[in-house]
Amino acid sequence: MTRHHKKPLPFFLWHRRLGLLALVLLIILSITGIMLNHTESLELDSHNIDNRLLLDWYGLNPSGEPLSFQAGQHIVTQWDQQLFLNDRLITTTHEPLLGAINNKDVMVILLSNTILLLDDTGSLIEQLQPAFSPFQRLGQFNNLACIEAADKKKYIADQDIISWQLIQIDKIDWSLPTVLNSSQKEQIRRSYRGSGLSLERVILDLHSGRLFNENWGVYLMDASAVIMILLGMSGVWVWWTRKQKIKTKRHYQKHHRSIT
Amino acid sequence: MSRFIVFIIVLLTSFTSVYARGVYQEPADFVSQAFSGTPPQPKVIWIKDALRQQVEEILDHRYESQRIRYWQENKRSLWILDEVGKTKPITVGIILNQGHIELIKVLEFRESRGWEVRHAFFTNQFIDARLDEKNTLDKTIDGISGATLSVRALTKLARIALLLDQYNNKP
Repeated sequence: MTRHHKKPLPFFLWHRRLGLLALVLLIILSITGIMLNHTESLELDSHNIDNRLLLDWYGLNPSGEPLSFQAGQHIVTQWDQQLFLNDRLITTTHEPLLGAINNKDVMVILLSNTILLLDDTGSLIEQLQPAFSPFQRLGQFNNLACIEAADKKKYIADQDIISWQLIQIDKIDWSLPTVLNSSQKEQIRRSYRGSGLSLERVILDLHSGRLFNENWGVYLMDASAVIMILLGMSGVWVWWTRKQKIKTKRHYQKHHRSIT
Repeated sequence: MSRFIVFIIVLLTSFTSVYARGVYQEPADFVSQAFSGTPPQPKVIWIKDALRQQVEEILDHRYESQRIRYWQENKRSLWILDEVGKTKPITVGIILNQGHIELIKVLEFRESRGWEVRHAFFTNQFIDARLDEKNTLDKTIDGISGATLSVRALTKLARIALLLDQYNNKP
């Protein structure tokens, strides 16, 4: 009976496999490293990325569709939890936008549980959370702000929007959603991205491995660095053993020739 | 066994901090209770110029809103103010009477640490405190270890309420 023992893989083959494994990462590390060494001359920080896939990867593209309300001369928009006055970001909120009106010089923005009062420049006057929240919709009656609560009760504000009174009227001009044209939408999208994504940021994240994953991406690049160290050591080992073998072979051939 | 004890302690402390977060009293209920069920109409004070500067000096950061609402009946006023402890705002109700603090109460606490400030043993220290000429409290408020930022937030809010009340009652 013959027993087949699996032959251990020669060391130089391990060396080769390690090299192949790390090759892609080493190429990335080297190229990005060279680029980062010349950040200023390559002007990496002044080049902005416009690639949709990359922007999505960084979470810099709003998801879903914007919801907008016309408030006098202004448009209030909510897009993916961000609230904009025209194309200017006001705040981030998880509360859905229900309406917006312009009441004299005060802009009233209704979220599901919060009322925001802004001045004409978009600065916050006050943030209110009256006891009759959650709300349903916002409107105007005789130039006074009106709110319908989730329980269908209606409330009207005084001129300065300080207190709210329960009312029973039906002729309220409710704030209705408006559709943005493509250029308005694009302006808000640009504002959503803020200063955008610079090429330098992407190269840095690619170099550190954070582009692949925020948590383990760095370890991936660490692993490639460790593999590089191992490659150096195994390379020296393969060279040394081969040198020894050649030396032994030459010695044997010389000795053998002398016998024959 | 020791691992089990550590596990139980961690479990209990995490429950305590989660339990401690929340709304202790709705602001509307606090207002109603403070004025025996018939609160006056709210008023607003505009935060601008020198007053804004003083408020921001106390807060040590910019104050976002342009106005603050309050309720007043004779010499008694009630203020509901927010200030961030560490990362989230703490909502505090403050009742002032003739320029001193009558009551201070944490209405909503959103942070995971520092909730001890809601207890009466801490808030009672503010009773009868007034504002001195440097806009600081004339009483020493003892801190709570592990709740330094919440203590600081409550002290700032007490000072702001007194400052605004003083501004309102200026002859």
